[in-house]
Amino acid sequence: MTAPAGLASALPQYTVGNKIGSGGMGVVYEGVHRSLGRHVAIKQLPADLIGDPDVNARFDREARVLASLDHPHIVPVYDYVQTGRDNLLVMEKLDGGTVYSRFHGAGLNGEQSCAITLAMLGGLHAAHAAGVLHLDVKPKNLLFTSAGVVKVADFGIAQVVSEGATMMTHAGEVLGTPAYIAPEQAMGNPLSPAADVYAAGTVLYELLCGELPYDRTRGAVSMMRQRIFNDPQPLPRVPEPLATVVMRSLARDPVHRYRDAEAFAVDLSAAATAVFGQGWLERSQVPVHLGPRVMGSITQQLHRQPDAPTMITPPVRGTVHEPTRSIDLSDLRGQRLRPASELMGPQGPSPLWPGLAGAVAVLVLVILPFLSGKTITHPDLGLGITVDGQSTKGQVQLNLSEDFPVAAPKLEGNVVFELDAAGIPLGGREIKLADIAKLGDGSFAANVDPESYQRWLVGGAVTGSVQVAGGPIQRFTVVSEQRLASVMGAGSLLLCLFGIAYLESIMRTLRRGFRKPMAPFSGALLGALTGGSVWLLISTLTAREPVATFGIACAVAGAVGAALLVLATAWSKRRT
Amino acid sequence: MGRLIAAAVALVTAALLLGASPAVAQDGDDPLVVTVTLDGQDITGRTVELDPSKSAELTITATNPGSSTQKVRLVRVSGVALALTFFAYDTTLPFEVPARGRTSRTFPLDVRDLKGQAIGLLPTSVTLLDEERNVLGGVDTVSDVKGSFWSVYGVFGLAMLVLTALTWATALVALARHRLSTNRFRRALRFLPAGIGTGLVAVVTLSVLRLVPPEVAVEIPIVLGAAGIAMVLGFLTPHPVPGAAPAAEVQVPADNTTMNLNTMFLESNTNPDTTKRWPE
Repeated sequence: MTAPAGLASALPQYTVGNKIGSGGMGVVYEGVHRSLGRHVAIKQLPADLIGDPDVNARFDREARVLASLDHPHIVPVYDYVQTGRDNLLVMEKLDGGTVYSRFHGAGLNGEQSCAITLAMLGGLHAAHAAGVLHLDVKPKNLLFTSAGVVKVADFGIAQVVSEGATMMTHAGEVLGTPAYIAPEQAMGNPLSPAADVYAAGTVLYELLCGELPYDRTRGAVSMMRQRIFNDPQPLPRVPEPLATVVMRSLARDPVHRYRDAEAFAVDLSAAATAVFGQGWLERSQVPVHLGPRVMGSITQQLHRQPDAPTMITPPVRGTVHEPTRSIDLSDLRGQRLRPASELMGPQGPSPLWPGLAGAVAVLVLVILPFLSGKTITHPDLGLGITVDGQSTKGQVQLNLSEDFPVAAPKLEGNVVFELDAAGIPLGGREIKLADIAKLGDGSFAANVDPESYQRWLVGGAVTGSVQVAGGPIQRFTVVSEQRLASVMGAGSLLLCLFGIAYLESIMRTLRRGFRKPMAPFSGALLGALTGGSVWLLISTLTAREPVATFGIACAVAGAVGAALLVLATAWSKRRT
Repeated sequence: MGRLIAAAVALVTAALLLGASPAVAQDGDDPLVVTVTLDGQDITGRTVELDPSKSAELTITATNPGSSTQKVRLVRVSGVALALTFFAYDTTLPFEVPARGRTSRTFPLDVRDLKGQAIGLLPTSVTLLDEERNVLGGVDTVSDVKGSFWSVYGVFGLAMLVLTALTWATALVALARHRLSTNRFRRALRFLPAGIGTGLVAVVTLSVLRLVPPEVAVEIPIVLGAAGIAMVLGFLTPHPVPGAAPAAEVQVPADNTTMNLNTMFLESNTNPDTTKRWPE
């Protein structure tokens, strides 16, 4: 296919030849400088972008910087031309093929893959130092010279085309190469050299094991989603510490990644030396220009392991030719491109409403126990019973560590003294008729020796009852001196904390990205436990006589609140 | 490690249970029926105050329901909690209690050392011993010792409170942060110390703080019960999420290793016998 006429007129000093490649970032033609006879590659930026003043300004800015880059592992830019119809870059033409073609041809062994990556990182680091991000690092952009030197091509083109943001159509076709882009790039977040580190790490991952770190069978959008929401699959069949270095370069959060390409290269060179042994770089037969820090790293590693064995690695071949489908801008006639972050943005229901409703339920749970009265109204049966000298018509203060008398004008039979909280029995005593003493005033008194455990069990206010000779049961409110220092106090506090810690554990699981469909139900159970504990704790500390209906209401509020908060957490995680 | 902890717990439990057996070793005759008054007041069924700054006057009345004379050699006043004796005073006071007779003796009890030994509400027993240290009879009560917080019992109780609070906090934080073991039984054991601590706090700390007087009969069941409940809670905790291992376990190479800037020569391998294979 011959070049368009406009191209030849824009570059009169070149003989423009055939189209030799095309991709999302433009079309490439071959050319020869008329007087120097130098073979060049001419990159024409996508025709759709011509005339956009912002694009023109970005192209002008980037092209100046690119032309100034001088590094053995960067394809040099000889010239750039901006006309009203074209944005053109004139670059060195490399004839040695691409890493992609070699990887899918003869394959690359571990040493070669690491050497290629070191060369790539060298080029990237130099460009980063000059303020240029690549943002489209992939095997097809790594070219070999005829002497076998690796050079990184297409610097800054992504920045010019879309300011680094990943663009896609409504149909889910992605402009660029989604298999290698960093999560923050897919989301349209601010970018740093760490984005290129991620792409370089993905390339190395693929070269070492033949696979990508994410499932590539479900399309471009799925691949971008996976890298945003899931951790990469562990690097298979690659020994430590090489695998650790690669996985660190693939950290989802840029903060946890290598902060620049050189730091990645330093660790990679040390790890490769540890794994492949002495002389691995020479054996790879890939010429690499190393910076002093990277060289020092290899030396240090050799000092550390002077007798490290040499590893022989078989070549790994790429099997899947197109990791994900990308589109050519020339195919986009009539289709509107939008940032991927817009199309991949929040999905699913909003966590706001369940979150708010959950918070309200928790508030209700905290307030409800205080709405309960201090005591329950117990009808006086007119038996004239006194407990420890206090009438059962009012509250009875008891010290359950000591014996106390239960007295009445008539005690003609066994006396049963019992305690309960909201119907839950807390132990009692039965005093036989034979043990009941007649007092001087003609009344009778039964000495109650409380059960040993009751002093620890009862806290705050509870319900007491006295039954004489199987007759009617006189109920009354008993107030213990103990509050927190009881099973009802400290026990409910610990249960409450246990429930909260358990709920936090569930929500943490969800926040880590695990899907747990049953989580709201487990949350409801734990919420009921926590709600019941909160009710008992507040009732005990404020000496309110426990009422079962309030307890049940608090348990329900706790269950609803916890289930809604768990749901909100799950939905919130789904949208981030 | 888990087995070691379980074995240690079993040993301690066995020791406590064995140590908690009653100290009465009476052969043959019925034990003496003993009534003790402190400064003129009967100590049975009430809490008596023991103030180390004052000398107390102890009156012992022993009634012998048996058919032979009992010879008392020693009177022992001891404070015991969790089968551990925190203080004990032996006073040599030889007297005889004739068959079906009654004898009373009064003597001053010097408890000035008690300040550094105990504090709070402590189960106390006054026992009469014969020449061979056999128990002839005695009474149990609860004494309110006006000792120092820095006494052995006080420090023990307060330390228990602090340690138990810390143990619960770390266990619950570990639960919330997925730091518990993946093994359910190990998780149960992780909660065990918190449970034991809670039992000890209930028995010791609450008595040190004069909140709840201890009751010898249920001290050990309380500790064991609390330990059991805590273990059940630990057993019910969820399996921690895989991949939630502490960050320290992940080896991350440093970013900024100090580099040697000397010229480097890469040497080819000279020892082909040490080659190894790339994992297939």
